[in-house]
Amino acid sequence: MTLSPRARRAALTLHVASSVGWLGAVIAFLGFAAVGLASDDEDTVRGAYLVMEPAARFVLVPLAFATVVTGVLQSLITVWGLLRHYWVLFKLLIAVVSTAILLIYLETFSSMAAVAADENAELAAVRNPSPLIHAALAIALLVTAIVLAVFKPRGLTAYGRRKRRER
Amino acid sequence: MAKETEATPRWVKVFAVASVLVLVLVVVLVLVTGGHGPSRHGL
Repeated sequence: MTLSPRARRAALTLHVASSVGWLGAVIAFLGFAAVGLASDDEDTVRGAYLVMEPAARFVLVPLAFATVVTGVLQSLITVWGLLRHYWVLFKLLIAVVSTAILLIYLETFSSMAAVAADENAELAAVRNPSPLIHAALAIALLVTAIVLAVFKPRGLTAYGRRKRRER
Repeated sequence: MAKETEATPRWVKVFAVASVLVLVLVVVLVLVTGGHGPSRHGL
């Protein structure tokens, strides 16, 4: 697919903005999770778990999908391709797997929010280390994807080698 | 772009092994802790 240099730069800007935005949003979740575990104020603890559910649904999920879509677009409009280079393939896997886990985890966010909204639930039952662990792992994955994008380590897949020989 | 060779680069092998180890670790943790999902959260 051929695009003008301006359109290519615009597409790259969208991809960088969405993927870095996704990482930033997950870092914010790490903050919510830490507050939920460490705060002494009951309203703050409950509020942390209550805000995670809509924030995930309306911020994390759109950014995750935007990252995948703009990333695939990048592979189509640049020389890198989607399955030709290992670094692109790993980035794709990281984005798709992270998005899938996020979608599954939405149910957990709802469950934690329901417990937080229940006035009869003890604060110890509201506190949950799960979001902290998941956010830390997600940050590790997304930072790995960014490092791959910046360094673009060499390595053609079998498909990439075949395509190169055909040229 | 650096010249590409036929051999699979070492970093790819390291990534693949690390990914498998992490996957195995997650599966073991899920099995040891008795499952995963919203049903066990907040309890």
